[in-house]
Amino acid sequence: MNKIYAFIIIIPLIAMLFLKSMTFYEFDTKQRYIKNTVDSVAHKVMITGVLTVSDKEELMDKLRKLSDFEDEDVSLKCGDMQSDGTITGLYEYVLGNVLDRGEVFSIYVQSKDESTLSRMEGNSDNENNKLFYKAKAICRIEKIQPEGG
Amino acid sequence: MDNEIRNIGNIICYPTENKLKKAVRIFQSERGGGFGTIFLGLAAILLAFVVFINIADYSIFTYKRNAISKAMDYAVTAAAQQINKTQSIVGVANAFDEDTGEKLLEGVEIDIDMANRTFLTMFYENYKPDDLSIANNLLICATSTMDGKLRYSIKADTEQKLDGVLDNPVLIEERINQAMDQLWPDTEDNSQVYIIGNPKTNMIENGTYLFAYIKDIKITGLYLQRQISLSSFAGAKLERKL
Repeated sequence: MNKIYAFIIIIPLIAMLFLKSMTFYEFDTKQRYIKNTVDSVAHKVMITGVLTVSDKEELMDKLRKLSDFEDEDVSLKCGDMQSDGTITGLYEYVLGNVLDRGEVFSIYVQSKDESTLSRMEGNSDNENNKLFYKAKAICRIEKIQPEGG
Repeated sequence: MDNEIRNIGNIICYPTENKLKKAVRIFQSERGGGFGTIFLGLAAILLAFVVFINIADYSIFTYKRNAISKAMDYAVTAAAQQINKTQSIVGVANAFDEDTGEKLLEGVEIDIDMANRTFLTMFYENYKPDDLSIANNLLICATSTMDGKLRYSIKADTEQKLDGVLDNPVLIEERINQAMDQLWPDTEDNSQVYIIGNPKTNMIENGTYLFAYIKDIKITGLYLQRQISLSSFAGAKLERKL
């Protein structure tokens, strides 16, 4: 009988640890994939100077496989680097616009829903504690101008 | 009796072996076996918990390290574009070889102060650490070519600066390592910069390049703090406009 009580204590503990491990693993893996996806897009724009409509669709397809992402959850911005080496006044990037060498391109994505890990940890009560899948990359266009930059 | 080594026939029984047998008998008995199960179960859970915490700690550390590494790539690519036009040779008359008509990319200098500032801006835009400042751990080295020789300028700790000329670009690796020893003599980390695989795979040739190195930065995972050094490298990708 004592052994039954023992299992009543131990099995839930093992189950809880297992679930925590699984949710952490899921968050970590998805977060890494999302960061890699965003970095790939930033790198592409860094070399070519442009993000096309099909590139954005491809990005959304990849993101939606990992979590709930809508078009408005992806922020694309561009602008100039100031003469003092700072970045200010970035504005919305229009898909298909070809950026010049030296301009700055920024991409930021954040999932619509919080992660399973966040829900499991009970972070949902406070908006600031919610853990979303998000990634950011800012790069400077380094393509060589076609007319010889 | 338990503490004595007993020789039964050809089998030697050690005291610990006896204790182990006793323990096994207690767990096998019907009476009081529950506590044994609880004890073993909790020990296994504790072990699994420690393993889980360590894996999570290392996982967070590697995520941060990769993000910093990527931020360095973006930063060095941005900083390599800070060409100092007043110090560089510009103009069509100087941009082409008189005999062959080939474009010349000699004498194009990176403004190392601006490159340093741009690097830090771009780095912090990509990776905003709560407890990490790299300004005093950053070394950047800009190179350019003049009369077939490699000119370099090394800046570290935001203020210190070293300039020089090398006959062969292969020597830049040794120069950067010397500069690191000179600028950070008390460092615990003895890691060195490796740019040259062999003379044929030397990444730095005569040209305009920017090299960045962050030394001894401390990254905290879940609870452990690890110290690492990272490097990044970019060419200025120059062209001449007509």
